[in-house]
Amino acid sequence: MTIFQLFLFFFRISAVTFGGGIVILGMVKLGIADRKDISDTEFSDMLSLAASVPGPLAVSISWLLGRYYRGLKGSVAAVAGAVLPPFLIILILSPIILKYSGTTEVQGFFKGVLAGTGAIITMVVFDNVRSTLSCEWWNIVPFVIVIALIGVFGINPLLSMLAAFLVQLIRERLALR
Amino acid sequence: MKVLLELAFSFAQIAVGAFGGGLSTLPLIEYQLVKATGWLTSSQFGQVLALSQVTPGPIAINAATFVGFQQAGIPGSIVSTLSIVIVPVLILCAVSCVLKKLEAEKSRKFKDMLRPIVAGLLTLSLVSPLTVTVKNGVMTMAMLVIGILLMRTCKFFKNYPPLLLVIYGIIGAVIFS
Repeated sequence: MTIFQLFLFFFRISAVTFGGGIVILGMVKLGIADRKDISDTEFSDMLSLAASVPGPLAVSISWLLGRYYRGLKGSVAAVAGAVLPPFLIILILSPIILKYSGTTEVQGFFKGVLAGTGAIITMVVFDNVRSTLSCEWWNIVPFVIVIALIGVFGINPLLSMLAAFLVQLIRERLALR
Repeated sequence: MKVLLELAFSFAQIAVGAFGGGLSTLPLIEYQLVKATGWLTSSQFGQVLALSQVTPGPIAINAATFVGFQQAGIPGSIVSTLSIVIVPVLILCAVSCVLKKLEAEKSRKFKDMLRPIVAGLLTLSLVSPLTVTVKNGVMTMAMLVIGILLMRTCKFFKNYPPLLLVIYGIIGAVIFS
């Protein structure tokens, strides 16, 4: 892919992908499935790395794929393509929303969307938590630690995640013995 | 200038902890934007969440662009969005620098250790939309329950959740005004 093609590839995917996350990885996978210039293993290594670092998956996968094809310039073009559509759309909507957020129509719209969002998140959480807790009994420990520290004690999520991860590391060490 | 630095710092902190992508980032975003800085009220946070679900792109980028604009206009939205993009890119570069090749086994283990932590964050991401929806009244609570049933029974809505959200938004705008 040329630099411009990289930009366009991610621009197109990003403009029609709602919610980000795993969905965007699936779209990228579909988009390069027919290409001969990248192998399955190379791409799955990228996916694996993208999912191992923090930050939006759209950013990490576009950076890695851009670098694979065209080095640093490719990375910048791909990330720009991935970030511009959501950025521009929110930039256009922000002043409108801020101006009309007091009207009952806009508030009603958001109330409705939020109710639906609650339904979607409930489904996602249910599936995710069930599979996470059922694959390994120990998982309940860091799970509860994170919820208790953030949800009950109101501690900074970054510190809470760090604490839970330390517990995971200690357990890992003990298990190796 | 001060507010731009604050925006950059807040979104950098969100980016650093944004493992798992998508909804599991919500507790970090809520902590930074509602609790630590007071830039959003709980109901405004609900609006930002709702907005991010009916627009393309990851919620972290949507929230950065919106709150950046709300706090400091176009420069604010640029700084915030760049912050949420550059921090993950730097981490990605650092990781690729240190590890010439990501060992599949180690990466898998790391993700396994993160998994229950991400599940905990996901569970916490439910708190805000559920409490705001309950506060919004019986109608929105009913919509939430119906939404779950719809997604469980109707393949169409399960595959295209944004469509459910737009319909819900229109219903909300009609019945609440």
